[in-house]
Amino acid sequence: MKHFIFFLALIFSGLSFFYFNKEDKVNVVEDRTIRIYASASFVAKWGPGPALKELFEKQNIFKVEFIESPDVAMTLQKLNFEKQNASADLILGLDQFDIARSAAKIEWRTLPALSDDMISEVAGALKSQNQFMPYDWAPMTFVGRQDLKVQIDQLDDLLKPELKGRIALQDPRTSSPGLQLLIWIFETKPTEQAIVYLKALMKQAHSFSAGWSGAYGLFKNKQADLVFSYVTSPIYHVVEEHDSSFVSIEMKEALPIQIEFAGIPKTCKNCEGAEQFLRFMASQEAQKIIMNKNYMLPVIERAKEATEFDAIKVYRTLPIKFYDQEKIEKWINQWTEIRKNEGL
Amino acid sequence: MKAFKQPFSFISAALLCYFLIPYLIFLKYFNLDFNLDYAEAWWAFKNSSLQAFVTAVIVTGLSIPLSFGVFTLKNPWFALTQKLLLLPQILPALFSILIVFSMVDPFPMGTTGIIIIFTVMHLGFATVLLTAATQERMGSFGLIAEVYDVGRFKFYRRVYCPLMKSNLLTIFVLVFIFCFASFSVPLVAGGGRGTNLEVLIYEKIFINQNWSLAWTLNLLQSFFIFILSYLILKKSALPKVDFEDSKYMQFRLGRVGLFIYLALYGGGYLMGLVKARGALAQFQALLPEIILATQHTLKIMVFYILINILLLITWVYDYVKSGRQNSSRHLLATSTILVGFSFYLLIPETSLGDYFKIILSMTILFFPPLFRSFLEKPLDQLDSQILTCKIFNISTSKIVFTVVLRQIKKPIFLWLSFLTIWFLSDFAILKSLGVRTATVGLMAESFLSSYRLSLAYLLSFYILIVWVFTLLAIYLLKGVFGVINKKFAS
Repeated sequence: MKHFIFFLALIFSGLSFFYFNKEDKVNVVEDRTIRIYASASFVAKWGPGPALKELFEKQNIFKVEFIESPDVAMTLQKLNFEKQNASADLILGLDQFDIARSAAKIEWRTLPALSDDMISEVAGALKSQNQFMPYDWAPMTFVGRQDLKVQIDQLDDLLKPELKGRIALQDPRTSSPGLQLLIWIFETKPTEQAIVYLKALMKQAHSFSAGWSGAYGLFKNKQADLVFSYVTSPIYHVVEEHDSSFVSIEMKEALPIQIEFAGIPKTCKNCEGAEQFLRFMASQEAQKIIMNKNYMLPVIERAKEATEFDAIKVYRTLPIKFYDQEKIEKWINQWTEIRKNEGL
Repeated sequence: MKAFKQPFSFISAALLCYFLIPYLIFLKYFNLDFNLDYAEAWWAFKNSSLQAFVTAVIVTGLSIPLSFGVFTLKNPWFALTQKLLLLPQILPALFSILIVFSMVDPFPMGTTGIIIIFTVMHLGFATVLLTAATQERMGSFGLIAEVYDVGRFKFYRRVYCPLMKSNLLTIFVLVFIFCFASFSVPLVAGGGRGTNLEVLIYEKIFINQNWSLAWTLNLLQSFFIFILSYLILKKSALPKVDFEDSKYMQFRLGRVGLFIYLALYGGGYLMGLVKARGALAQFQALLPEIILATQHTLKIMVFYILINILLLITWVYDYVKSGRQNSSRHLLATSTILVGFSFYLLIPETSLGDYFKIILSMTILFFPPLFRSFLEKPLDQLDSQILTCKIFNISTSKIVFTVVLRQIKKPIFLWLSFLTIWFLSDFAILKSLGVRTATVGLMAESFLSSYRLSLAYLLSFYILIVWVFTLLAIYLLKGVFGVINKKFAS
């Protein structure tokens, strides 16, 4: 047995030596490298990251290094800890809620005007702040199949008895889309009515998943007839699966919008490169890549011309707002209370 | 071994420190915050406890007839069935949820729903555990009882239950803990009772960005589980015996139950695979990336397995020397997100950093529960032999290598097979670590989070194949090392 251990130790030290040496050669971060934190689906081969990197590096002297961000909340907390030692030059994938939460904790660089033809829906986001650049967006609504028997025109229609237990929703305590739906309800109805509505909606919900993927999985598996998702979701099925049976539903109420922002922390090391990359992200070529790979709408109008995305009807949307933390917590608490009292 | 117990051992302390690394990191960076909403925390605690307790009772109860069902099978079906029983442990939780929702329609949301999903997810694992434990403990009691014709039920009441009591209790506690610390299942199927402590921890991070509060909640949860494990899972040092099959250990109705369970779960999974066949072309197009991710995964896994073996040897050495099991065996449910975040904070984002992070976190999270599941009892059973060796002044390393490890080869292999499959299929830990190295588990997660459910199904099947080949490789290596060892010895 001693020999067995000796062999193990030998193999282990050999492999360690090999990898330690290899790392020294590979992980030399060049001065021209822009370190960008982005989500796994952005960095993945089927996401926009690789194509953006390739195109950007062709056009510029900078090199792009994507670092997968486990969760925006964790990345922001890490930035907050590292302060001056933080290595991030650019953070992608921030939403309205992240911006509000991080405002007090992290200092961000003020951005110059990076594009002058932003579409009206997202341009509003730039009026109240100049530290974050929107790079894609989509209104959120309910997505169903074309053979859905129930006519849905407004939020109240979701309470029809045929839909009892047939709507896949996300938990607002753990999911950004779930929070969007909750805020949408509170924004479009007076508080008392919103609470009554939420109570009724609990019975219509098939389930509240921890994240968007859980709810969408249930919907795809036909466990639910409707799911709260993006108006762009059906485009994925048309393009990738050649299935045009999915539809996003237009509502009488103006829809909430999910915008993805990019921001440069003040502690950036290659700030010039990060700004250059942001400028590039606002270009028509980059916007097309993001749109096609992320299945979200571009922030500049011309990018979607003559594509499947041009056919998407962008329904009436709510103006973008950055909510106070206290307000969000109050709504969450109300939701939790209703859910808790729902019984077994 | 009381006479040989050491009051303090440096190795014991070092081992405990290793498993406490995430806690120590959090202590350094965050203050404890007891400004909790106690009513909310109590509600979450009650929900977690109720769901976990009922599930643990049902799963432990059902695993008995199912394990008797396994004993009706002969090899290779015996081995194959045990592999299939592990399927729910291997697949992402979302798959199990989808399969159960398809099986039970309309699905009863709420506590009942949670218990159904938990039962389906953990029954296979519990059955495998109990089958292994029965082989270790029952020896020829079944055969002797059969020869003396004591009657099946008398045998169960007078022999089986008293002998297997501590193993059944271990299974009960493990299932309880797995359910207690679960995150996604209570949310999806939970109804009003979807809030448990793990959800509260996540809420404090996602909504409030209050890491101190999340850390305090995790500490309370870990403390509760530590106490539970410490109080309930007592040492039972009956010696290991050779197993003799008997009619009393076989139960045809258990085989039927086993078949129904596997047919429903496996059938649900196969249905998902059949539906996913449309994405085969996409899967083929991504094959170069998948192979690359497999290479990364396997490279890290080699280190991971070696570190686990070294940890095990240190653990056994410490056990032989100090006469007691290390206290870190009670650290059974550290929050994944907090372990991930502590290393995410501390270790740089380089490929080498990824290796460290992955190996550290996975050993910290997987070693204690799997040690408890497969190795603790077999080790305890060697107590009298260790004592005899000590009386004869045999050196500790000789006891470890020639007496202990040689006799627990089978549980070590079972333990290794779980370590590898949990490693291969995990994405929750890797995601919370923020690793840059592409692994097959992370690929499955990014498929799930970008509309590509079908690709995730196909990838899960691929992971199963990789696992089987990995086990074969380990088995062959074991044989090769055995031959080398004999050569050196001679």
